[in-house]
Amino acid sequence: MTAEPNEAAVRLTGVSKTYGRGRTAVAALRDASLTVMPGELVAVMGPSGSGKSTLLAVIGGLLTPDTGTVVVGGVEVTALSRGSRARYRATRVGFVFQSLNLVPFLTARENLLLMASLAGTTRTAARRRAGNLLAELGLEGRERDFPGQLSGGEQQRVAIARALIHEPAVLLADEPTASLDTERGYAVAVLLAREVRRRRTAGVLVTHDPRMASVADRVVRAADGSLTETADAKAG
Amino acid sequence: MMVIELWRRPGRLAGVTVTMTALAALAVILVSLSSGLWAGATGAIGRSSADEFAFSRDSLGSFARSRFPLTELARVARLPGVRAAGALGTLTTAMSLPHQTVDVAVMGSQFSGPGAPPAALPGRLPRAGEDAAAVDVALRADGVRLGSWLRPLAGGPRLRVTGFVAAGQFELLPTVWTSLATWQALSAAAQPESSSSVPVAQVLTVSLTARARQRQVQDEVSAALGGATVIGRDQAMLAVPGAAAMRTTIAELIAAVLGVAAAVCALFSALQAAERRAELARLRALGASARRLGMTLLAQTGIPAILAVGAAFLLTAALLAAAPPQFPAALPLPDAAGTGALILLAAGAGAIVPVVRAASVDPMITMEEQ
Repeated sequence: MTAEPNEAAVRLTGVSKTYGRGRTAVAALRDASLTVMPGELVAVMGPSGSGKSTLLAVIGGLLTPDTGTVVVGGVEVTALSRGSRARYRATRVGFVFQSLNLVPFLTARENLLLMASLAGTTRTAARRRAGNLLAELGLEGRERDFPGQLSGGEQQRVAIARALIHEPAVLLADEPTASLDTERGYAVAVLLAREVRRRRTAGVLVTHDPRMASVADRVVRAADGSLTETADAKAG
Repeated sequence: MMVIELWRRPGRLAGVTVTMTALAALAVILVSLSSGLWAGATGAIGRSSADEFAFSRDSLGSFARSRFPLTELARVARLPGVRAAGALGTLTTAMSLPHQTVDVAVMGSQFSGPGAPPAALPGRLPRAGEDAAAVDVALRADGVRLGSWLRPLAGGPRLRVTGFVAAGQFELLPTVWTSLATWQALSAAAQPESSSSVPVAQVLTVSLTARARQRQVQDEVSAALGGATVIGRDQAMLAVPGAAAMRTTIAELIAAVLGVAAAVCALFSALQAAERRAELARLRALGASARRLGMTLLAQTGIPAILAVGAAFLLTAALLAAAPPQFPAALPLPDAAGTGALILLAAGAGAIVPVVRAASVDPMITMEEQ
């Protein structure tokens, strides 16, 4: 079930997803295919309603596509039961949401430990990894701070650490810099790209902002549910 | 880990705990009142050594209306499955003491058969032909001592106190145990219309042999007594005047309080689930299973409920300790445990639907909110 080193960490083949039926039906994804290698960050750009979030939801096991297959880290996500998809998300997927996504009554460190606990990581290993990750992401000394005591940029760095603590096969980031100013947003995007490469995790970054997309290895454009590889990708 | 929230958001915990404590205390106080009143109304029957009680056919299971001539006793004692037979008479009346008047329940007994009070300690039970009584230990608080005289206000023989018994109360009154002949004389004085020229009792009591089949003996006793109503001890307790109505009323009150407790928990859980919908969806998106979230949410309802039950018992114990001895309330351990379990069950039942709905929140909400 585990992906080989030179095998794609994420492989979408012919994925379609339509919301609603009849005249009100909206095709969010049409025959979409995408491959992301371990250590590679792919930025997905496109206007609102172009299917970017649906793409992340399908890879993350939040949505089941109507057709097509999704394989992540050797696991065929589209074949998993509802219960198994929760386990898949806890062990193979790291999510970074747009904003205010930390549990507000838990400290930065406890937010990481909660994710590790969902993934079934042992307590000792989780504590060690949490300490290391927070230090590596420049949050040393802020471990016991609650999200409300952290700046927006610091909160997103904690969210990135949380997404990585269980060593997922894929990191999915949905507009992670949207609530930050340009400079801090860019710093978070660079950090995200650095960690994806360093940890050999596949990364999918959804963004509106070309500057944020510039940290990715490749850029894919989403329009009307279709994905198109663009030539403006650049190595971060 | 989400249980930490209760301690880090003490306002939320305090609000629901205080509300639940008030409701739980109300339920526990009602149960203690029910237990106390029940023991006070029926204790003398509940502690009886008799297994079966026979009421005359036209009495409709009422102590006051039932009458048997004592000559029937020998016939009942000979029936198969009957180890021993006895007789009982009851009369609520007032007795004058040297310094005050008290209401009592006079219990006429044969002292040797089933239904007799336990041996008197200290002192002794009355002897045959003696106008005397062994009285409830509770009457000590009214100044009754060994050798005291009780004078019935309605007339009849004066009674010398020969002993004290822990036989329980009847119709919320302390009991005064006399011979059947003395009881009959007191009844005739208090209720001349019910006087009889032959020795009588109100109910006949039966103790069963080890292998007797209760139903079969009941049928045989009933047939031998011309269609008498023969019932077990628990049913006989309900035949005490007012006991059944009292139990039903208090049970309905307790049920109403438990219903409100369930509603409060349902409301608390529903509010919490609505307020935290986005957060729960995010946790589901991160991989928390519906079961895990459900258990956490249930714990968040259960912990305040457990704290509330504990506080309610402490509150009730303090109230009972401060209440005067005559206050008819008691909280035996089985009743306390049962009440605690019922309150927690009501809390769980109230919370279950909102919790299940909240725990199965669609994680896609997280993406839609972005």
